[in-house]
Formats: sequence, C-alpha cells, structure tokens
Amino acid sequence: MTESSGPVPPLPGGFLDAAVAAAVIPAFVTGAWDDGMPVLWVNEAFARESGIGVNDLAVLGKHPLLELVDDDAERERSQAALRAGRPTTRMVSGRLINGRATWWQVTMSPVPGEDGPAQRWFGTATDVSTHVERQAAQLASLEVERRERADLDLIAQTTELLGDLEYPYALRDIADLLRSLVPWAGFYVNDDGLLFADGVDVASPPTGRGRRHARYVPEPPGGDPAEASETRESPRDEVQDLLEGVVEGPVLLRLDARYPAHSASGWLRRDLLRRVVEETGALPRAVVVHAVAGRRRVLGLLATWHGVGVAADGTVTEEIRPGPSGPQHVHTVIEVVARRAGTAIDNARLYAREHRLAEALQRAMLPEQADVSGLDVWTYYAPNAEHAQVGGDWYDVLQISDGTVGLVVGDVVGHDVEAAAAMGQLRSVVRSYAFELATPGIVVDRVDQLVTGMRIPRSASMVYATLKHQQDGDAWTVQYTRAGHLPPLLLRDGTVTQLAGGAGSLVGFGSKPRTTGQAELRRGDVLLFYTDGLIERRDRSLKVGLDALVETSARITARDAAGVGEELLSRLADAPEDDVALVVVRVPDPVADAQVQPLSPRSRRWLLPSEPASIGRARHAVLRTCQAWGLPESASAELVVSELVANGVLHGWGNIALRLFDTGDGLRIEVEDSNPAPPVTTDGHPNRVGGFGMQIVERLADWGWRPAGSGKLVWAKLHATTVG
Amino acid sequence: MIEIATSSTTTTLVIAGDLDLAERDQFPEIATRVVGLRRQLLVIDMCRVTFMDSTGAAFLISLADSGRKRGGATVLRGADERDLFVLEVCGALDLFRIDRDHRCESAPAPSAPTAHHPGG
Repeated sequence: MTESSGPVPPLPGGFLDAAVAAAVIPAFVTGAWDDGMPVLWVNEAFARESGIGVNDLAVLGKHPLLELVDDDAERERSQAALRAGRPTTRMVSGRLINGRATWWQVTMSPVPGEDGPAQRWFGTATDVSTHVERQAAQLASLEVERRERADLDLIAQTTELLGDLEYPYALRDIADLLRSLVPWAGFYVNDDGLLFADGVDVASPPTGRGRRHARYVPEPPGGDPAEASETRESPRDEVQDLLEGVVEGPVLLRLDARYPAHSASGWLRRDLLRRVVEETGALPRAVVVHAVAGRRRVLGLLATWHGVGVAADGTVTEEIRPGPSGPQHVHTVIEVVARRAGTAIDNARLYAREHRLAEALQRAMLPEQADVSGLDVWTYYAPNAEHAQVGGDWYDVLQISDGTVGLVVGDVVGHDVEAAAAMGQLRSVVRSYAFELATPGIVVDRVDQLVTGMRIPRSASMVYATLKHQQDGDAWTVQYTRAGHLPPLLLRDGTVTQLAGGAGSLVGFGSKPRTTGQAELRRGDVLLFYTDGLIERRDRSLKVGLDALVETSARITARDAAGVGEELLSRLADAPEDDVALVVVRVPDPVADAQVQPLSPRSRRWLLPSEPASIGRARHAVLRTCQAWGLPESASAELVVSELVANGVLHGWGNIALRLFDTGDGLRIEVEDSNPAPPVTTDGHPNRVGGFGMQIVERLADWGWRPAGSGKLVWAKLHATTVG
Repeated sequence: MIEIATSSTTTTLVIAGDLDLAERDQFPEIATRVVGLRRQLLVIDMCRVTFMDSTGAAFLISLADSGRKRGGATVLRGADERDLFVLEVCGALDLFRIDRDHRCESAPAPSAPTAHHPGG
C-alpha cells in the first residue's frame, strides 16, 4: 500500500470461477429443492476430501447429499429454510468413503436464477471434525469433573453427618444423599439380627453379632412375588457371608430368589421388597449389598438398588447382570460411604463401651454416706475435672453399731483408673475390719498386714476414726489413727484444734504398731476430715495450706454440717487442682442452733451418686436447708428437687450435683449431671413414667438449663407465691 | 411399703412412705396383682404417704386407668393438697374420686409441713 489511489480495479473475467474451483474449501452447486437438489458441480477439494465426484452423486437419486450425512434433529428446520429459499448453515456428521466419521459445517446459499428465486444453490462444506472432537472431549472432561465434584461433595456431607451420630436420623440422611445416585439406598445394622437403621443409638450401638434374623417384617404390598412366579433356590446365604466377613463384597442379592426365612439373605430380601416397593413404587429384582464394616467385624449393611427390576409402570427396567451394574463412580462412592459409616459406628461402639465401663466404675467408686443417727454429717467428693471422673480420694461413713460411727478419709496417689481401683480395694479392706474391730489403731494395723500381701500398686494415706456416743448427754468420744494423712480438725467456738495424735506411716508401710489418738466432742462441735486436694496449691507449701485451712475454719459461722462444708469449699476449693474428699461431722446443739442466726452464705451443695436412693436424700437435704434458712416454700422445693434429681438419675450421666441458693426472693435449685443433652418436657402419657416431671417443675418454678462442664445444669427458681 | 387388702367388691391399697422413683421397681408387680383381683372398686389409701412425685403419680394413674377400662372406679383417700396438685398437673384428677371427708386414723400427718402445700 504505497499510495492511495482511485477505486479498486475489477477482477478479470473468469477469475472467480477459477478461484472457487481451486479453493481448498470443498464447494458444490446443486439444483432447486423441488428438483431433489441434484449436485451439478463440485470443486476439486470436494471431490478430494469426500472421494465422491458429480457422477457418483448422480446415481444416488434425489437429494443425494442427504445420503452422505447422518440424520439429526436439526434437519427439519434446515430443510424448511431450503424450501423457502433462505440461506442456511448447519453442522452435519457423516461418513467418508474410507469410513472415517467426519463433521462438516455446511452452508447453502441460494443463487437467484433468471426465472425466479433459488434455482440453484451454492454450498460449501468445511471439515470441522477436529474442532467438534475437541469440544466433545472438553465437555466430557467437564462432565467427569462435575461428577467428581458432586461425588466428593456427597462424601463430605456424609462425613459431616457421621460426625454427629447422636442425631437420630444420620443414616437415613446419608441414604437420602445416596438416592441422588441410585433410585434407592438404605442402611441395616446387625444387632442380634439385622434391622433397618435410620440412625445409630450411640448409647447402645449395634454389636455386629447375630446369625438369626427374625425381626418382624410386614408383608410387602401386593404379596411376595417369589411365591407366585417361578423361583430359584439360592445355594448360598451371601449376605450372611458378607456379615461374617467371609466375602468382602459387594454382593448382588437377587430378590426373585428364595432363601431360608431367618437367613440374612431371606430376611433382607423380605424387608427390602417391602421398603423399596413402598418408597419407590417399583419392584426391585436385585440389590447391591455393601458391608458396613468396623475394625473387627461387619456391623451392618448398605443396600442400594440400582434400578434393576420392574418399574412402577410395569416395564422391566434392566436386565440383571452378574456384577454390580451402573457406572463405576457410583460404586466407588457407595463403597466409600459404607466404609466411613462402618468406622463411625465402630467408634461410637467403642466410645459407648468405654463410657459404660467408666460409668460403672465411677458408680462403684463414689463414696457412700450412710445416714447415721445423732450426728449431722455432710460429705463431698469431687474428682479433679481434668482427669477422669474417677480418682483416688475416698471417704466412708459407717454406722458400725448403735451409737458408734466409723469415719474414713483416704487418698491413693494418682488420678487414674488404677488409683481408683486401688482405692476401691482399700475401701473394702478398711470397711471389713471396721465392722470387726473397735480401736482405730488396731483396725489400720490389720489393714497394713492385708495390704502388704495384696500388692496394691499405689501408696495411700488415710485417717480412720470412730465416734462413740457417751451415755450421759450429747458428748461423743473420737478415737482416730492417721496413716500418713493430714490431721482432722476439731472446731469449737471459733477455735480450731488439729487432731495430730495417732500418727503413723502410709498404709502398708507400718513397721511398728499403730497408735490411737482421742478427743471429746461436745454439742455444737464440728469435726473436719479432708484430703490434701482441699488445701494443696502449686504456689504454696502444704504447711501454708494447712494454716489457711485452720484460719478459714476458725471463721466459720454455719450451724449445720452442709453450711460448714459450703463455707470451706467456697473459700478454699473453688478451683481445686486435685481430687477433694471432705467429711464434716457436727454434733447438733438443739438449744443454741435455734437461737443463733448464722451469717454463713446461703448456698449449699451435695454430690449424689446416680441412683434412685439419691432422690430421697436430695429431698431430705432441701427440707433441712429450707428449715435452716426459714424458707416457707419447702413443700414446692421438695417436689421440684425430687423431679429434677429423678430426671438426673433416669437420663443423666455420672454423679449428680445438687446446689441450693437463697436468692432473697425465692429458692434457686440447680441440678447438674454429665449428660449434655437438654431436659425435655413431654406431653406425658399415663404409661410413660416421668413424662410429667418437667410440667410439675414448670408449674412451681421458672426453670432453664445451660451447658456446664461436659454436661448440663438444670436450674429452677421457685415462684414466691406457690403457697396454697 | 404398699399393702393390698381385698373384699368381694373392693381392693384397698394402703401405701406408706415415699412414692417416687426409688419405689418404682415394685410398681409393676402391684399393678398386676391389683388388676388380677378384678374388683369394681379400688381404694387407694394415701394417709401414710410421705411424698409423691410424678413417678408415683404415674403409678396411681396406671392403676386408675386400667380400672376404668374395666368399668371400675378408683377412690383416693388421705391424699394431701400437694399429692392432688401433682395429679392435677398430670391431668389425671378426673380418673379418681377424691374422698375429701376421710380422716386418717392414728396416722402421722401426711407430708411434711402441710401449711405450705403448693397448688390447692
């Protein structure tokens, strides 16, 4: 382009003919539609690429070009354009002479003739096979990617659901997710026989054991198809093999075969027929069964129906193939889901077993307090929250005979289960000698002898004391011996005496006979037995801690054992670093107790074992407290406490903590247990015991709950005007 | 403690002490025995009941309910205001004929401080 000049000169005559004939794009000319569009001319490129010349096309009859391409959905629309004489462009596929499948982009342009429009057409056919193939490959890979993402997403959702097996419909929701891949899916667990599972009862997960499957299954709607049609007896109970881990699975369970009634295959077949028909309307002929396997054994099954059978409209949907049918990715997903479910159920099973063991041990280990006559006794035991709910501290209050009470406080080194077990053994030994022998020194001597032979793996300290009622008046004699344990305290009118006599070495280490110390108890006196958790802190020595305890004790004003304990705990042990066991014994002073109004804080606490007898003790405690605080609503309080503690015993876990507070405008009751699940108000039913409990609470008090520690705390504040 | 006495028309159940979860284990057996006697009238004597909560109430309700299903009636006597309150919350007062005129013989005052009963 050197210089601008005038208009572009016209092409020489015949140039366009030559250009079209020599173009690399295949081109052709046809006649009118009404004449059957005979091919009148093709260029060299057309003949070369298609391998067909004008004369070859002529023998194909009318519309010869259509013979070369495959039919498709676009054809109608395109032909309408040709009929109307409009230009058209479209993609067609076809086969070349050499058999290669090819995509063409075909354009047809009408060439106006002298006597009317579109007597001839000029067409081009560009080979776009490479382009189409590449696009198809891209689409396919996109589809694969999308499916993989969907599968991953499904597995992620499954994992999330399995993370919270407490949710009662976890398995049902997972099965629902799987139903985006297959028409039907469902979980079964084997718990002394197969059963369908919407979820897992985490308190009692399936065992995976059971060879006889006899749970009731209603008749499938429309009867059992196998009864009517010709059936085949199946030689093996493959589902049982799967349950027992003989085969890894998955197995194909034919539902049109017969199996023994209580075999795994037979039971599963009956249950599946009913469920799948009910839920999808179709009659399945075979399902794929995956094992839901835990670490040691198969816990259940995941049954998936892949659409093989008779659809709701009666058409047979697919033939049964020997192996699992359907795309491979579906099977991968189902297998992963089954495996994850197995692991999760197995974890729940193991956790429940641990939990049961710990609970049983804990119940067995929690100290018991006998009701002793003539003395006001309050006990407290708090295993360190950071460790297990069991610990090595213990106490025992024993009514040895009429007028004689035995008291033990001890501490086994450590916080673990072994410490708790050693404590349990020691406690039994002390108990049995306490009932046999009177003098504390002699009792512990015998304990030493026995313990030396028992090889109890942990060292332990303890105080053992007896309280004997004197015949004259309300005096009691205390005899005690200490095996490496801190001295009990005697509180009298603001002075504190350490009962430091009867000292000796740790349990099992006595080389010389134990000695026995003695003291007298009068009305209003308080005896304090404790373990070092009450005073031990990392930042101070035991001596300083003991001084602090003595000093605190001297300031106690409460005139009931629970009040003394409360004052001690609130000042010393609100954040104990170790287990704490505490026994407070007070000799009631009927005259002075009625006259003096103590200034001690108006809150009380009790720790109760999870057993029905605790409910009565809790009521007793609240009655006494209401009387001590002069609160009028004791009858309502008794009822509310009874209901809350009964709930704790029935539905709670672990020990039950009861706390009472005088808010100044009504009594506040708190009941704490280790089960985080909130309390429920039900509408009740005459045959469902306890259904009305919370309704009673609701009528008498404002109530609520909150998480506390690993469990929950239910509180109730009594209405001031419940008095009838 | 629960005692069963019977005449040709009446079963009398004399209950003493606490009626709560701690006593639940004996409920089914007593219910079976009461039902087995098939008397038209069941009298429940509560004079010596010291405490009753919803668990105890559920037991009385199940007795009255099975009596009613056979066309019988259940009389409650010696129940204090708090016991009646519990039954009322359970929605079960109409299952019982309440004998308000009954005076307990030589029995100690029913439940603890009677002056402060709720409900009523």
